[in-house]
Amino acid sequence: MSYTCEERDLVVIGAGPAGLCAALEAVSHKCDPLVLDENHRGGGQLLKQVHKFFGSHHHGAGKRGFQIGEELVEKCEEKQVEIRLNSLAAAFFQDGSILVRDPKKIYLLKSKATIIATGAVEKPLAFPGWTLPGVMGAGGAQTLMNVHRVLPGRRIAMVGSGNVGLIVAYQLVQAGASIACIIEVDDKVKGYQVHRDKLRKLGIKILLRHRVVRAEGDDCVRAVLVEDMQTGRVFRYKVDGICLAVGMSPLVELPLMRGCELEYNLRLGGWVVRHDENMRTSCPNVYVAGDVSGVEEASIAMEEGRLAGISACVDLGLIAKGKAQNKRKEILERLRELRAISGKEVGEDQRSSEERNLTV
Amino acid sequence: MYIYEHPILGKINKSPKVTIYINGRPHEGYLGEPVASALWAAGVRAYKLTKRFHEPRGPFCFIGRCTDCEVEIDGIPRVKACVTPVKEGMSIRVPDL
Amino acid sequence: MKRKYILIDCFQDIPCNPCEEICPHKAIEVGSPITRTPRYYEERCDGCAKCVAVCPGLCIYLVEEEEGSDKMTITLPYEFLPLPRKGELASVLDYNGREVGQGIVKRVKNTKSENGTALISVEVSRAIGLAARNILIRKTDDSEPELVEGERESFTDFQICRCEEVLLSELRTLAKMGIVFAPNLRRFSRVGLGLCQGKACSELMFSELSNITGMTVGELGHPKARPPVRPIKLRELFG
Ligand SMILES: Cc1cc2nc3c(=O)[nH]c(=O)nc-3n(C[C@H](O)[C@H](O)[C@H](O)COP(=O)(O)OP(=O)(O)OC[C@H]3O[C@@H](n4cnc5c(N)ncnc54)[C@H](O)[C@@H]3O)c2cc1C
Ligand code: SF4
Ligand code: SF4
Ligand code: FES
Repeated sequence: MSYTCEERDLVVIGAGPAGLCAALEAVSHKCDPLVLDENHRGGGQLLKQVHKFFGSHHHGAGKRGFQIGEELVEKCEEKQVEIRLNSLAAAFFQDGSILVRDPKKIYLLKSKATIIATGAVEKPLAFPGWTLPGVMGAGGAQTLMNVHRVLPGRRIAMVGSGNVGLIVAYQLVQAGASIACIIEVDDKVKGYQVHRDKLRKLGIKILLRHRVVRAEGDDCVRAVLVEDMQTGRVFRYKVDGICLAVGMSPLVELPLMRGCELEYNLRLGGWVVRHDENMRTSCPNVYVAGDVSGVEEASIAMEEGRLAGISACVDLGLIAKGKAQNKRKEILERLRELRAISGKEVGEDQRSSEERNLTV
Repeated sequence: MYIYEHPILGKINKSPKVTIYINGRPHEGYLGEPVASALWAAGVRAYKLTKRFHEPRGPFCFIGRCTDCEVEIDGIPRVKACVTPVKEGMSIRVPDL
Repeated sequence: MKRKYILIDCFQDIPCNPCEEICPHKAIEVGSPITRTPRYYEERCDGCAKCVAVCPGLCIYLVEEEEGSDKMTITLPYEFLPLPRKGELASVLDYNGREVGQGIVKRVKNTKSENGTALISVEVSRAIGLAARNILIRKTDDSEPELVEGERESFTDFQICRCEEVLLSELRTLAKMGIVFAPNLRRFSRVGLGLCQGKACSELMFSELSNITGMTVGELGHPKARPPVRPIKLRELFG
């Protein structure tokens, strides 16, 4: 048995919108990036999204999430970007080497520059019965129905009314399930009004100021008990599934292992990797992009990917600083516009889940 | 239950049907899909019993992160069902409840 | 005289403008910044319904009405199966999903250019016309929830760590003994030391610790990461 050590100029970890855009930016500067993803397909979160995205034409608005993902993958193929699927970056050591596992082997990679675009992971919510089969993350339910084409349940309760909760509830109805209720502890719906209205126009109720008391069942979920926090009354909804959508937190394990500094930001999902405007982390030649640098939207992830790609190429000596500066300015301008909204209290899954307790 | 028709994704487009054995009984699955989705489609909800409380568990994340979907496949214990592709004739053992 | 116009239920500042971009006659304007709500200029609109199909919020409706007629036709975006058939009677729902009457399906358009959002045109009476927002997709089980007595007072224990099966009460007991420093609490309770590498339960533990100590999660110190990020079995390492 021997461990080979391959050397690359640029390794991108994660083939979501951020990682793919970073790679595309890099090839445009004559860099030859290697993209790793543990999934069997590229596209990241986009793969599971069957709804049409907001944004402008620049980010594929009006198209469905999976279509935007497929287009990005196609573009990468056109430009002959090497994407290794089923390849988990299992560790990122302080000396800068990356341990990769694919179904056949385990090997070490050495890269001069590394862009981490591993996205985010769902936050949990614990209550009696949350370990019963049938209680699952909203992302898990999405993978099951939209990727593998299996119905998660016939009648489902959704916990959380952020955009993810609203969108996944709607997608469950599209797949053929019904929604018993959407449970929200806050006194207002967290997600966008138009996402809320899609459910409202189907007659689906969002229970505000309500909380989960417990899930009931023997070998799997049979019912959920929900408390109206204003009256103290508890109701039992018969369901065969409970989906949790109480926010996402950045998947920071690899940057942490590498030694990148983190910073705590409630609005962006908790612990995020500290980075400058150009996506450089506190470690030289390590960059972040997308949800791992703060949970936002796909359009923002794409722009951040481009920025990280430019920064890596500048540091590798592939682009002149002046040229990079002009490109960056355009991107930063677009990011500012996209974020113009974030000062307002809409569409936030993140804050709501932090303010409430994650346990009951 | 498989979603054969989807308003956005259209007809199911999965690779050929194969037979898998769940606790010895034949069920159909699609070649290459994760064992976890084939089991879910077959109505299995409890994939393992936990060590301490011996309570049933089923998939939580479906992307290989939570380890709640471990089953016995062809005699090998504790294999994550959500990241293991289905093969013809596979034999899967789950708790008999 | 025939009149065609759209209704837009888009009232919130969100970063979105496909309606503006697709309209061939500049009848919808979002402008800059992209977060502005759309404005509509009926005099430029020819009723092509392109915006109805493209809107990611599914919140644009086309209305066709004729002077003197007590009927009007509403074209709505629809993303469910089965699709209604032409000539069929459909239950019409309002903004709150309540049934307000019946309508006759006049057209069903679902070509490639709609990209999965079918356009359903329903003829309804003028009385309910402007309220129509949807048609009933299927009869679902909407059984009422049942009131449960005496639930609130009882504390039921539950696991805070799925892998190591640590109970919340156990974590609280340790914390009461003064073990509130996260690494120590982790060692004693085993929360976060399971196979999932603490992805879920660490967050729960920090949330509980913040309750107990009154410190914010940010002040409690950040999580730790150990390689590998997902368990690798020894047999894989040594092949
Ligand atoms: C239900 C839902 C609806 C959404 N709707 C919208 C919307 O309408 N509009 C919008 O703009 N945004 C939307 N988003 C947000 C958007 O999907 C994300 O912001 C975006 O996908 C983030 O991109 P990313 O590249 O940072 O991460 P991801 O898309 O999460 O990609 C990360 C990739 O990294 C891989 N990875 C992780 N760890 C490793 C590792 N160790 N080794 C190898 N690979 C690894 C993962 O497999 C994954 O493919 C939605 C999100 C959800 C969950
Ligand atoms: S119906 Fe056609 S013309 Fe009228 S606003 Fe919509 S896209 Fe423009
Ligand atoms: S496309 Fe729809 S959701 Fe987007 S701005 Fe226009 S009306 Fe609003
Ligand atoms: S369902 Fe989480 S690891 Fe398989």
